[in-house]
Amino acid sequence: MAHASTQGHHDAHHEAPSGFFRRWFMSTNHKDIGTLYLIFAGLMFFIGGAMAMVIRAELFEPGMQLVQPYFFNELTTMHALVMIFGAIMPAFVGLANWMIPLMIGAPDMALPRMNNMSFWLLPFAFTILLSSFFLPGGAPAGGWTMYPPLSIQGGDGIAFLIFFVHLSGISSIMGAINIIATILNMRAPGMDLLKMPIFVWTWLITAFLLIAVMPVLAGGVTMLLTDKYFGTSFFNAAGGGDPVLFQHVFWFFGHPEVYIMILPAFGIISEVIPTFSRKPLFGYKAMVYATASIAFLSFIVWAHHMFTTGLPLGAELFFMYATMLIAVPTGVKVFNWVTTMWGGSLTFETPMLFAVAFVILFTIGGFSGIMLALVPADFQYQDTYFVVAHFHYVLVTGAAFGIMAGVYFWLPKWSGHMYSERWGKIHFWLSVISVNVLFFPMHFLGLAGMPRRIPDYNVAFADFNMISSIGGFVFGASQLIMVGNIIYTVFFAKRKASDRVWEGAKGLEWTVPSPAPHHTFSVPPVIDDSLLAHGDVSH
Amino acid sequence: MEGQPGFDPATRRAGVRRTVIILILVIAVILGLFLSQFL
Repeated sequence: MAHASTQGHHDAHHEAPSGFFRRWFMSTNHKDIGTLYLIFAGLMFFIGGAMAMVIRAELFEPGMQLVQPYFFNELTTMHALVMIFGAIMPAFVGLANWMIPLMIGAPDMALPRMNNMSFWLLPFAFTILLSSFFLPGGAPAGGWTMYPPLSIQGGDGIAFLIFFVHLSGISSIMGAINIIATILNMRAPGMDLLKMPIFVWTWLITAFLLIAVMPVLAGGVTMLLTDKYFGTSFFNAAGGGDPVLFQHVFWFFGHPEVYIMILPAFGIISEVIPTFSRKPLFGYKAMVYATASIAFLSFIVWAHHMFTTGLPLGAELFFMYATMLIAVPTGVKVFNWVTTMWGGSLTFETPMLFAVAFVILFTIGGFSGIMLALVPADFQYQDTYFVVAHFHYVLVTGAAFGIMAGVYFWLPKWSGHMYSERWGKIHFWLSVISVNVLFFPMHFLGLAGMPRRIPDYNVAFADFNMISSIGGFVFGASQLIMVGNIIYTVFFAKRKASDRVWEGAKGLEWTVPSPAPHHTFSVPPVIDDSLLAHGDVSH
Repeated sequence: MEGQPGFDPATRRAGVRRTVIILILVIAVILGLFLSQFL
């Protein structure tokens, strides 16, 4: 693209600020803040992962081995909170920070100083959350869902958790406002909405979800706080309240939250698959509409998490059918990815391997989701390891694999160097085999009746648990390969990345030099439709 | 290309301000609806 070289020349005049503190603590640069988010998410991924390793070690065989039951409950609760709010969400915000301005031809995010604050709230929020391990009553142990009365019967860890939710919620809302303001106002002239990359579209819709549901969660946990400390009875049946009310409020947040964690991954996969298929994305507009449909439906399915609470039959039927309806737009996406690959000149570099694994394994998670949506079946599956298997397929082989695909895909653009393809592939194959060894047996355990969130279990469940734990240890260890590969790429790699990096890459982000200069698109780029990956353009 | 039609920093700033105000109002309405159920 003609403007790419002039862009690089122009941007070379604006270097990053000197001084470690000024650059990283006071940054208003979308790339630096994106890097901070990604490093933070990586750190949290390993803290949450360490908790998972202890959980799997305890469950390696029946009986109590390593930890006390209460501490086990603390670990399951904190593992979920750290992975959801600390690893997956910040990783996607980091990718959004790095890539959205590059993809739409904007010089930065619309609100750069608020961007800095959005990030720097997170380390404080997680310091508060993780410090609750050292409280006299320990960390919160009532599950990440915080259902009363259990959650408020422990120590003061719940107050720390609620303050953490408030801080990270403020961070998420500010981040979402920033992303919406950026996408709606900062696009380069000619970058129409229906020319935007799908990753930008999925993030725009995700940001609206965040704005809609985060205040509800904040309200719900504040009511929990007043129930415990200020004598209210919102959720206390003895005082005229209703514990199930909390579940309604929580899952009104919680179900859209599931889509907050998967829609940006859909966006990444929709960038990766066309690139390595050397074809435009099949059904661009259908992808946009399917994303919007999934987001809308996510608001009317929350009670499928509560089928066993005694809902009226009519409500159970409504939520069952509404849930199954989500399979339609999700199916549109899966078939569009497959159709994009159909007849393409496929190559299988590491990002593409993760993307293909995503399509297959996320679909397995979707199928078990359809099983769970069936009310009579759910009465059997509720609170068993089947549910644990389901949401780990969706969140690990779904969201986390999407993030890994994105990191390998864009790392050469960020760092200016190619990662080691050999170690990338070793990482992929170890991950994809071990993750199935880890989570697939959990389906069988659940169907056989093993309850979730227990530190000890019947000997009948021993074999599958041992297999699952071995898979868990291998999966955990193989993630260190990715860290090594990233460190190698950023600091030691010799092989330079070209501007376009991948033969089939299209879009504005590939027109800037590699590594992307500190400032890009200070002068708005010329939008050349033939060089866009997707959109309302003729190919 | 510099100074293309439609690329005006002042227009962008006004657009960002308008978007942020609308989104904050949306959040206020959601919180208001939520609180109205309980207070």
